[in-house]
Amino acid sequence: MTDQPVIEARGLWKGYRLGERKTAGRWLATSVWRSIPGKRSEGAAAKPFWALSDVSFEVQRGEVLGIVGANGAGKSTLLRILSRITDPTRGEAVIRGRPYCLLGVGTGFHPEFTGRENIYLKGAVHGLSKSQVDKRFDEVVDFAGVEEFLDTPLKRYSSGMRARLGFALATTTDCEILLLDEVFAVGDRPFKRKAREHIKQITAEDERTVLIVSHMPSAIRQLCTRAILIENGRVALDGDVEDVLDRYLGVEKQERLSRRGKKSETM
Amino acid sequence: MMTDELIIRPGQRARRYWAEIWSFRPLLWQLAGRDLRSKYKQTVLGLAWTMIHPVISMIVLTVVFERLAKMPAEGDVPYPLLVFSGLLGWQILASGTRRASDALVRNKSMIKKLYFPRIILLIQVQLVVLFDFLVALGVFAVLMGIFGVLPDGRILVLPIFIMIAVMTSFGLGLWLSVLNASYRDFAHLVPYFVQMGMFLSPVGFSSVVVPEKWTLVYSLNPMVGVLDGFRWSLLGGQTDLYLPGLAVSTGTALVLMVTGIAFFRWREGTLADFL
Repeated sequence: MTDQPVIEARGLWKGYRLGERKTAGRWLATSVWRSIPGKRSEGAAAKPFWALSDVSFEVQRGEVLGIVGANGAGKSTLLRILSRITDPTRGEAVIRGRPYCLLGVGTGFHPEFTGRENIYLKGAVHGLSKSQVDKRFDEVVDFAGVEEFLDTPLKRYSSGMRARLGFALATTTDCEILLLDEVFAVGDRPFKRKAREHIKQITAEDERTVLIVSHMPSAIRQLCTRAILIENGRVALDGDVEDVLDRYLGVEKQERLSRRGKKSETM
Repeated sequence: MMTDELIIRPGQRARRYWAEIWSFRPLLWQLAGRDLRSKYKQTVLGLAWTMIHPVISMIVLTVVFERLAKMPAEGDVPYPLLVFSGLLGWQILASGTRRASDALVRNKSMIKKLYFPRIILLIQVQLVVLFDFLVALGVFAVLMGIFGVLPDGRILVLPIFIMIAVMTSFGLGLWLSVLNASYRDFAHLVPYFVQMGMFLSPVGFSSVVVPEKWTLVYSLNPMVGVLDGFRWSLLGGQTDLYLPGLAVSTGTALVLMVTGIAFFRWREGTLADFL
């Protein structure tokens, strides 16, 4: 049983429609237009943009997988699918965890709710009752350092405070699977260090499975046991952290160089 | 030991759909409680608004329909009570659809960041609507005391009519919330439809004014069955309950709810992409 991977992505695709969203009026007009025989060719359905195409990989229990890739490569889309925020267009993913819970660490949840309400809200989303959240409450508040702002709506929090609260909420629950999306990019230096230490501790002490999306090679190098590189919605490389980072950073460097090259051409 | 296995695939919501919603009830209480608190905390008059609102509507509608349009009452029921009992039922649909139509848009930050069964947001709307309904029912009880009209045993049937009203409101709300997520035009349309609906439904008048040959057709509007039922059970049955009409109204309500749930479940998985 333990041999089975905790996360198994099998040919995941995610398509988005590009371009301006139609208004109801235009939608109606084009539907009527298209229903006229022979007029079908006009405005044929726009080609979808494939944010993910045929992504497959497996994650074993206790692994810490780093996911790297350029902006817009599809990393966040992948985490959104794995955390069930949105469905894939094609393919499937199997998640095995008990108690099953996935967390995307964003920057807060409901801007109109206060910090306190957001803590209970997040707990409720994971099926925790009020008394169960009560038990963790102090730990979360302490870690995030937002005591004085508990009754302030989240929208008035600074981005750093929001990120700290989000991080604290995600990591103090006892989830078997953690999905972390760019959590190390926010907050000040001491918090970043604290966050990394915390993740390290979490992954070391028990059999938790963690997926980390980050642009910081040092974070990936320090925490991950394996990495995958995503390029244009595809898994370009899956394997050793150093290999993946080399390729990722190499590509980045090339892009920078070619950009510089273009600039000098135009000058 | 058994492992929980979750399969994520396009449109995969069927397995244990309702069981999952049940397991998310802490979230439901959280959201409903939050809604009620903010509603009653941040206004000066708080709870009083929920009571004042139907009373003002009652006065206006009584003046318009009884004094100006000279509509007949049911038996010897005081006209204001006739109107208020209509408003009681109507509010379930009116505020239910109005709140539901922007339920997804209002909570889009949550939908885009967290997983939970999205339908919870719509169930929550109905809970808040029911709470408001109970407050208004309290006001109605006081009014009945003032007018010296007492309900009889028929009041025990009232929950059935409340249920039909909630089914209608929930069903329409499911449709409108998803449509509004894709096409914000609906946010502008819903208030007009609600307002028109109030004059098309027997809120300010009794359905006895509708010619007999049309009553069955009129009952296609589920609120006809609901409001007739409300008056029958609350005002001592001055007119008989027209059962074929009630059956038709219940049927429409059921269709709205079943199609609403189906439509919502079809779109639920990708809502985060549209908001």
